[in-house]
Amino acid sequence: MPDQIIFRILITVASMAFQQAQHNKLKKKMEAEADKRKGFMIPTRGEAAHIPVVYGKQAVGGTETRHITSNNFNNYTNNSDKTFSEEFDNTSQSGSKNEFLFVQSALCHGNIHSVESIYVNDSHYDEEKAKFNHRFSIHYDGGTADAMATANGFATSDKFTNCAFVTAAYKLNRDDPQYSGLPAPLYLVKGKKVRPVNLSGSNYSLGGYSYSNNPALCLLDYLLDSKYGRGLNSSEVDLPSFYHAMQVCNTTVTTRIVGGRINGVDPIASYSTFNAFPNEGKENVIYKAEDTGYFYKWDTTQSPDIYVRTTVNTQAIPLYECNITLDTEATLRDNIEKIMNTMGLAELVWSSEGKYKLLLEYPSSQTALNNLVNSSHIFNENNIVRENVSISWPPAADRLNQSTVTFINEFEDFKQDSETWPPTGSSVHNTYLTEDNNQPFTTDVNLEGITDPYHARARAEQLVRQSREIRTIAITLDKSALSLEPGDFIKLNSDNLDISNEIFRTTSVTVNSDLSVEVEAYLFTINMLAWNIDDDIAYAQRPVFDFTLDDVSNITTTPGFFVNNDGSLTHYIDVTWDHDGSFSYEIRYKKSTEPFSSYISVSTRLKYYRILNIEQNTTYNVQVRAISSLGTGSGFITVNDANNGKNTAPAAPTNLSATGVFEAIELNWTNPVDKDLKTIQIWESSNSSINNATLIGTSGGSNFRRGNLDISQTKYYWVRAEDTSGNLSSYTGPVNATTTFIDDDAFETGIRDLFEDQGLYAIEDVASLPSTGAIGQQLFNRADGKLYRWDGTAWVLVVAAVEAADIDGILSDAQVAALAASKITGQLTNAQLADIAAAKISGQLTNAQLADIAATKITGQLTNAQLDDIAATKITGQLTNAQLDDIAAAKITGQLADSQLAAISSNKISGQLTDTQIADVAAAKLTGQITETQISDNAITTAKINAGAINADKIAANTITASEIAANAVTANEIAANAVTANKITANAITSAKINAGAITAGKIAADAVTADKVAANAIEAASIAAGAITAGKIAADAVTANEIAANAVTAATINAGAITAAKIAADAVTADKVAANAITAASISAGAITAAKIAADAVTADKVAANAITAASIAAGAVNASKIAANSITAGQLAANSVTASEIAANAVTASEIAGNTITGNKIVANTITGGLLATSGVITNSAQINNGLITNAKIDNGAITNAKISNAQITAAKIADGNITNAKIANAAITNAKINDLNAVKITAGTISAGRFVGSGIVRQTSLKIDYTSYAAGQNNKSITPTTSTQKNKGGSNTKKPTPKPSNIKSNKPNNSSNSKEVPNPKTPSKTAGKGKGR
Amino acid sequence: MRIFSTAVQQVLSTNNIKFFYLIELNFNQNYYLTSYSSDIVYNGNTYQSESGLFEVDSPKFNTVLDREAYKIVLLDFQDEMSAEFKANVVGKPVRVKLGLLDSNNNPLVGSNDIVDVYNGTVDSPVIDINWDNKVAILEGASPMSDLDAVNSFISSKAGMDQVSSTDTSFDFIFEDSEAEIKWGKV
Repeated sequence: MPDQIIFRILITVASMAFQQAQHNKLKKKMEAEADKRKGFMIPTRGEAAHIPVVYGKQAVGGTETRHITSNNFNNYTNNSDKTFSEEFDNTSQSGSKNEFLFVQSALCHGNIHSVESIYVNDSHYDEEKAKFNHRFSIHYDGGTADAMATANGFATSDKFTNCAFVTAAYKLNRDDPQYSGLPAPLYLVKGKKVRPVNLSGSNYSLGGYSYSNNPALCLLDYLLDSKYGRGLNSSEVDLPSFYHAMQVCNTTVTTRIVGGRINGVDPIASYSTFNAFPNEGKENVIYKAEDTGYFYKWDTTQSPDIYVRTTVNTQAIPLYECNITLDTEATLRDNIEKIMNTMGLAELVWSSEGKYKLLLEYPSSQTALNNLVNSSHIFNENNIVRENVSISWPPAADRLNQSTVTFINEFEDFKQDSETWPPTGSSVHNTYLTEDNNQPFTTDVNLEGITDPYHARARAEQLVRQSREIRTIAITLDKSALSLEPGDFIKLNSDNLDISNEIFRTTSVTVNSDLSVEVEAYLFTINMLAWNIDDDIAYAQRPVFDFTLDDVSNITTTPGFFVNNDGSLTHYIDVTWDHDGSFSYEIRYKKSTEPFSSYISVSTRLKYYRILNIEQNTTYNVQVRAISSLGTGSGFITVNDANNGKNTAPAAPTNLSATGVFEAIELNWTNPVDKDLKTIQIWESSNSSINNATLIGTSGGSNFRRGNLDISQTKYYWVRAEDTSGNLSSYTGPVNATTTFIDDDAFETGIRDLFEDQGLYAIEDVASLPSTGAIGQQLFNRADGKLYRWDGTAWVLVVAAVEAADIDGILSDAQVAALAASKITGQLTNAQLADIAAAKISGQLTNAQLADIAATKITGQLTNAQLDDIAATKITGQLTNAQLDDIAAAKITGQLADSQLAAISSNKISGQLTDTQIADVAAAKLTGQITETQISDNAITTAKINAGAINADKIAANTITASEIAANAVTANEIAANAVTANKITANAITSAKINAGAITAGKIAADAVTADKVAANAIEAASIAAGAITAGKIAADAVTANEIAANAVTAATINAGAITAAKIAADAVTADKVAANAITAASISAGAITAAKIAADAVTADKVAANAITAASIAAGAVNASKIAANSITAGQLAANSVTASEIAANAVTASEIAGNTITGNKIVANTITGGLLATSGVITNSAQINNGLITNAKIDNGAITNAKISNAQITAAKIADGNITNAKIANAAITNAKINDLNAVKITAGTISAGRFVGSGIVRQTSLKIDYTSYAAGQNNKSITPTTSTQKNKGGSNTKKPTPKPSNIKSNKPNNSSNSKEVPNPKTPSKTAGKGKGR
Repeated sequence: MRIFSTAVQQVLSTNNIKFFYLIELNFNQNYYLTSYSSDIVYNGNTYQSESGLFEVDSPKFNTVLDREAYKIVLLDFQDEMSAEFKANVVGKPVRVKLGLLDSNNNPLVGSNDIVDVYNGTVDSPVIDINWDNKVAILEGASPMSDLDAVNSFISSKAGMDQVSSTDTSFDFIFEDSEAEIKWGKV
């Protein structure tokens, strides 16, 4: 039994030992399994990505290109642009189990500005609590392999050409993993460097690459870059427009606080109130309480950790920024649109010059907007060629009364954020809702390129304002709009369109075949632009729409009438009125005596109406009102008027005549043209006085017969017109007539009939021949002055042909119409012809028909055909050329003497004139050429050649040879002066052989005969001049000038040594004008050539140096230095009194560096020389060592000179205030506030000073623990400063045991948790907005 | 805004305005056509008058981001134009300009007298032949149709080869495959 027990015990022990071993084994196995679970098996799925382009500030994750794990980390020689590391030094480290992970990533296209910070797994890379171990080596551009990468397994050919890239090294703590799988870094990047547009004078050029997030420059870079953009040549972009847009984008619109590590500031986390802050803050975060606008930091140097107030710097906020990541997988157009969207109302157009032009305007005033309209782009209704104008307002889907913009907030290190405008419940929002019938027209827009709340809110605001004001117009304009391009601003005025001075921006221009221009444009107002208007104003200037119609004004009525064709009158009242706009008008009228229901209503679109057919002398009520197209009308305006009818007299009758006949007088006149002429009154008197006249009748026509008179009775008559209105004209008259004793016409007719019955006809004088007559009737026709007789069928001339001999006197040309030669019988003598136009002779006149004829009597030209033959003797006087067309010589018999011919063109003579036909003809009378056939052989004798008649041009070449010239025939007299010129003498024609020896003697050359113009160039060469031939006497004064001496002709070798002595140079011979400019240069004077010995004492005196001869430009920079000025050489004696005044010392010429230390001592400064104004520059007196003790006394300090701003904190210490110095009198009431009391303890309060009564109502109570917002004290917010609480205070470690510690006045204790430690984080995206202009953000 | 020459302004100030078109086709060869009744020499090029009739759209000017098309129709075109179409004209430049006639009906062809109407590239060419005539239609997508292109840079070996054939940075992109990274493991 005991053995069994022992065995059992052994078994138990053994079993226990085994179990322990098994346990240990299991433990090891479990540890091994646990070890296996350490670290990560990270599946990565490769996917090629498009490398993005980053402009401005962005957070990018990058595209991981390769991962390497290793047991070790090898140090390297850093070649990165920037390195971030956290608990990971650049020293070689050994480890195990692949605890090092290396990842390379391409960030974006290269040539970026910087990577400002990194987040890893949503924590800042150096977040202490994250316990990171990592290192980032960053390159802003590719092309060189990263040294950390190549030292740890990456290839040296991994150069990331054209990329910004990162090599990241992570060290994994396998026992306490600080990463959860593959780390996810986020890089805060300032992106591409771009090229600015520079303006120098009027030239625009591209500058060098530098960082900018100006949208215009980012767009320009994208258009120009060929690696990721459009790759345009700079000549294809309009640099001036981009420069202007750049300036617009750079406009500072406000100065505000900025945050975020991309801006070198900690990120800002916004909470609605201080109480909403998390219990435990983060060190590198700025907390903002939106309700107060205060900023806080989590201060871990305090105990416990608390929030303390802090300040955040402000920065100027430009109008537009471009912070965007462009996907290179997208089209160029899409990416351009993204960049354009960062600029609001920008337009990119292809200009008529063939360039991309960026059009961006942000006028801040109406004047600025007006200035954007070219004067040729102001259009009115005269320019609107068609009326199919379309004006469109945004539909409900596009109309907004609230807009929310979501964006990535750089102030919060690129966390998603949003801005809403107008805030819900704001007055602006309510106004809009009311206008929109409380329909929630809202939108939610995700904006790329905007990364801060200011621009986000501005965009949200602009979206709303724009949607509520914008409208588009499609209109056709005349050719005056041909110069329009998209983007241009136009101003429209049109009553019909109800548009007055509205400015639109064109988006599309189409030119029609008739050169009219279709334009599409949108309304552009300054109030659509968010920065121009306060955020809390719905409309800067809300137009008031008055839907009532204005009454018409200035109604005038003008009565009138017109005369109808039948002479009746129509009476009317014309009504006119004034009214703005284009409406219909209702006019109604009635007689004033009629009831209201009698109104007659008519309408018109004109501002004029004629009420016809009114009754004369009746008062009418007339009313007018305007009526809109919708049928609403204005009030009636009433006037009263009456038409008094016509009261003007008709015109008087004219042309009144009176004819006395047998026992009667006949009156005739011409009626006036008045249509309403009713009758003519006839007044008669026995004398010429109207006063005695009586109305004897009226006539509706234009004549009147006054009968019933006796014979030989004289009467006077007047007439006047009467119209249908009874108006009478003035009288016309008097005229008078006397009745005859017999009826003249009847008597004459009777006598005529008596003769005709006897076959006796008198010759009747008629103005023209009647169509028929009685046989034998004779008429003298006054029309042609001839006598005719009716032969039964026609009127025939009573006189037949006239024989020439019967013509007595001379028939003048006017008496002869046309005369056939054949009609002339016998001979016409000269006496019978006054003058006769040749053109009037038809046929040929024969000699027999002409006795003799004076040439002067022939006008015009006689042609050959008109003459058969004519004896020369029959022509007296001279026939001129003008009188003859052509005439055959053969037709001339006898001889024409010279005196018979004035001048006759030879071509008018056909055939030959024989000698016998011409007695003598003066040569001057021949014009034209006489051909050979016209001249008989030997006909021209010497006597027939006039002196001087034969000149050179009458002699053909070579016709005159020597044989034609008799000996001595040509003497000097025969050769005119200058007749023999050089071109008359053949080259070499005159040889020495032609000149006898000694032939040319001095006597043959006249004085001054050989002048320069007689000697050809190069005629006299050196060989032509004998040695010694030219002596001084042969060279005239001034004859040899520089022009005569060739370059280098006179060299040193040409002038004998010593040849030019002083004696050769006359006194003052070498004057300045003898030495050409630059003739003597430095090179002309050997070094050391001009020594003192060369300059006589006093040789250079002031009068040798011209005024201004030595200018600053004459002295090289640095030429006059101290070594050139002997010590003590410039003494007071060298400086005339007042010679160095302020005007001699340039501004900034004497700077501090020119004045040696201690040079200016007190004795060099005259009392009162340095006044306050001379110490304007701050920093002159920098420390107290520069001011001796006791130097500044009270008397030296102006009253008011020392202000608070001049006393820094802690400068005034207690030691500087003597006891008793500050008395009660020196402390103003309320000057000492709570904020000015640092520490007040009982020691400082005299017992009994503060009585119990002074606590009444103060809110100060005794508590066991306090939560004190010292900051609120500082802000004077006493109502929040001390809050009783029953909870315990929280500290960083979550311990509730610490007591509050008194804090400095500008800090705040950490906030206790009222309920639990799990704080609800309020929405940081509900910022309150500060009222006032400038976005209030 | 467009700046017109003095001569053009003078013509535009009258009520009798006559104009003509100049067309420049930069295909495999350059073609210069005009609607004027006789040849016109402008900018050193002779625009042929008898090279067939043509029709063009009205001059339209839009912002670059618009995609509006522009059409040119060549009537009774030459045979060589068929060859050009077969050889490809897509993407080839097309320019249309407008000129005015002065008061004497002479064309104004000074360097500043011609107005640009269209400046783009061929997007879609069509030849339409029937019994009566044959018509070539050239349609440009927009004045800036080339902005529809993509200029990408892909993080692949092939992508890097386009930039640098010796750069191996993207050689280890696991395109369409998976790889496991053993970090902290063996």
